Amino acid sequence: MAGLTDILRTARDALAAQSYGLTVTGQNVANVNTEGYVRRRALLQPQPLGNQDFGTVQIKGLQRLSDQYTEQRHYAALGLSASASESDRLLGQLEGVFELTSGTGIGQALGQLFSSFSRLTADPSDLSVRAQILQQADNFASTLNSAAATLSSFKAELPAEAKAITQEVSGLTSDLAKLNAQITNAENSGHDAADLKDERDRQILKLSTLVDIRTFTNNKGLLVIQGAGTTLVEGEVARKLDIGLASNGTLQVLSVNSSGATADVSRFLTGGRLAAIRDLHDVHATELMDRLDTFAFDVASEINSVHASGYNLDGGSGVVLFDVAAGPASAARNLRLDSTIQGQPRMVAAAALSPATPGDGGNALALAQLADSRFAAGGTRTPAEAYGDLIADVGTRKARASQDATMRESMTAQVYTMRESASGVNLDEEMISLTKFQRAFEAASRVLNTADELLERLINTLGR
Amino acid sequence: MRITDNMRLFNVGRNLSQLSTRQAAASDQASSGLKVRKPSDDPVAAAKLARISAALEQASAFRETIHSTQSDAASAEGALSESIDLFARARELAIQGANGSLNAENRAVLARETASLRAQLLSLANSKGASGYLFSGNKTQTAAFDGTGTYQGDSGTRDIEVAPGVVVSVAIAGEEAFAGIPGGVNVFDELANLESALLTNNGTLISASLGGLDAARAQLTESRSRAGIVQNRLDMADNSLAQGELGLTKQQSSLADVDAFEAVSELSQVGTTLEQAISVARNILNTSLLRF
Repeated sequence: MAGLTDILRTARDALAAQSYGLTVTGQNVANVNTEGYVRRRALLQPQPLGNQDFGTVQIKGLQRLSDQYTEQRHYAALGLSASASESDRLLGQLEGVFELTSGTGIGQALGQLFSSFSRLTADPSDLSVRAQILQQADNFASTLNSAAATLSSFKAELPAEAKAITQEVSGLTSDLAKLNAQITNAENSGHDAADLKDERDRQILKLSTLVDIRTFTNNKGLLVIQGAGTTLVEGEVARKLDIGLASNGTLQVLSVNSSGATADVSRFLTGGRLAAIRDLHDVHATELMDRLDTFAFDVASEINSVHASGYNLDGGSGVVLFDVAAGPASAARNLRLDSTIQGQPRMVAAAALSPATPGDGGNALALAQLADSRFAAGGTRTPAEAYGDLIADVGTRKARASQDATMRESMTAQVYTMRESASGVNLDEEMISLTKFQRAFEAASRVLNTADELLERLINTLGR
Repeated sequence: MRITDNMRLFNVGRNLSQLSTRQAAASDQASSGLKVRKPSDDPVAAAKLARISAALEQASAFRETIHSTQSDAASAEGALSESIDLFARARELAIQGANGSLNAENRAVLARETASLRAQLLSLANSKGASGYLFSGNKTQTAAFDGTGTYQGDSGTRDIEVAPGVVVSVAIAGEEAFAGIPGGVNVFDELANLESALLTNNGTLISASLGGLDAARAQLTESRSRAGIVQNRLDMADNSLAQGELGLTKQQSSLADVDAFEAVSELSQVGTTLEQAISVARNILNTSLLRF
């Protein structure tokens, strides 16, 4: 049989529980715009009083409404999306070298060189046209030089960018290890660690845009964060990432443990901005550079061999027009007008026959006809076609990256929506629970009031 | 599905930002008039454009070469025509000289005119054009004939390319036209024959020289017609290059240029959609229990 004081107690607990509910609702409303905030729900449960069959209410604590599966998907989607948009951005910079209206104009310079050979056939002894040939050849070489220089300085900046990202990763992993420690402490001493967990989620989200990550709780109950295939955080222990250059010039991602030992984890890296930078460095920039070098080498060595087979205005045998190495390596970067012929228009080998005659433009014709000869790309493409292929290659890479970025972005948006749906705050809902707790609070007050009236009747009326 | 306030805001923001991106692209196209500016705008079209601009550059070089060759070809044809006229006069002199009523003195007068014709012919054969002596073959810096009418040039016929892979020989070699190598007559020798026949006052020899003069004239006429053919070919090549340039420019424009109507209608369409999206957003964001 319950006593009147039990009713008072129940009313007291009810008031406390309902105002706890109001506080939690208030917190949700207050954090409606807080990045990474996970909505909470007040957990209440009935509490029997002693061994009696009635009781009161007890505040059990908070529930963070977060869905681990959605969180994982969010990390993965963010990592891929960050990687795709970083690729898109970097390829956009690369593409600038080959822009049609404002690029370095390699195609145009090559066309003008062939044109000047063609003009020489009209009057092979014309010194001004010969000088023009040398100038156009020099121009062709320098446009290739500047394109190659832009490409290689672009590529050279990437390791530093990657390094900055690994430093950010290392900072985040050590923060996360500290947060793990704080969460463990808080939970051990019976405190609510919801805010710390929110903070941890925010940091993990940040980390997921840098490298591809995966999180799980191990059998000791510790949160494990794996990134780039290696364990970055395990409970309170953090590892760092670093960047190195392999002997073949590729970018290496290294994991560094607490004793400073490193391991190459490059091949496991699949997402995040770090993966985009690695791909740009090892794949796109390297391949485009190779293509440009091959193009420069093909054109320069073919022109050289035809030019050297002719005879100059003074009857001497032709020399090479371009200074180019024996192989395509760094050909675009190092291409120069040969120093022997520089400033010597009479040395342009326009004549095909020896002894050379001033009107013999046979070799100039052969040089001009190279424009339509399929000597480039292993003897399959004319120089203009080879350059067009290069443009198409650059364009396709960038277009694919843009598409990828758009697609990844919308996937991230979808996952974000899923995450919001599970963990976000809906103000209408909060309004309803505000009303709900308010009404319950009022009802509990009424219970208290009733108990009070009963007690008053007992004390003032009966007890007199 | 639970819809939260942030989801609404996020979706509205995302849609508006996508529309703004589309609007920026559309206004960029409409104002620049170009739809392919970067290779990634359309990689295939960009590659084609690179090839087309190479072909346009080549065509303009071909045309320039043709134009600078045309004046020399015309000069050569003119010189050959004048030479033919000279032989018409020489024939008259020969017929006049063969008349039995003429005495040695009359014929000496005719011989002097013949000598001056030969001197004129020599200067015609040594005409110079923009690129040097017209009839010296490839030895453009050497006069084609010396005073004795001996050919000093070579057999070079200057070759120029007038279309990819199409080569035209533009020079008329003096050795064919004037020296008659191989198998023709040396036109200077024929005039010299007439002159010496006139000087020796020999009617029979004078008559006999007529055959040689006719042969020389026929040879020059044939060369002139060849020069005419060269000019025709150059004209035709120039025309077809001009046509080709037009075609290439059209192709370039269809690949790279924006269809003005399409661009403007896309722009206004995006504008309308953006306005609609904004008004929808206003309605969505206004619904809340807080307003009760």
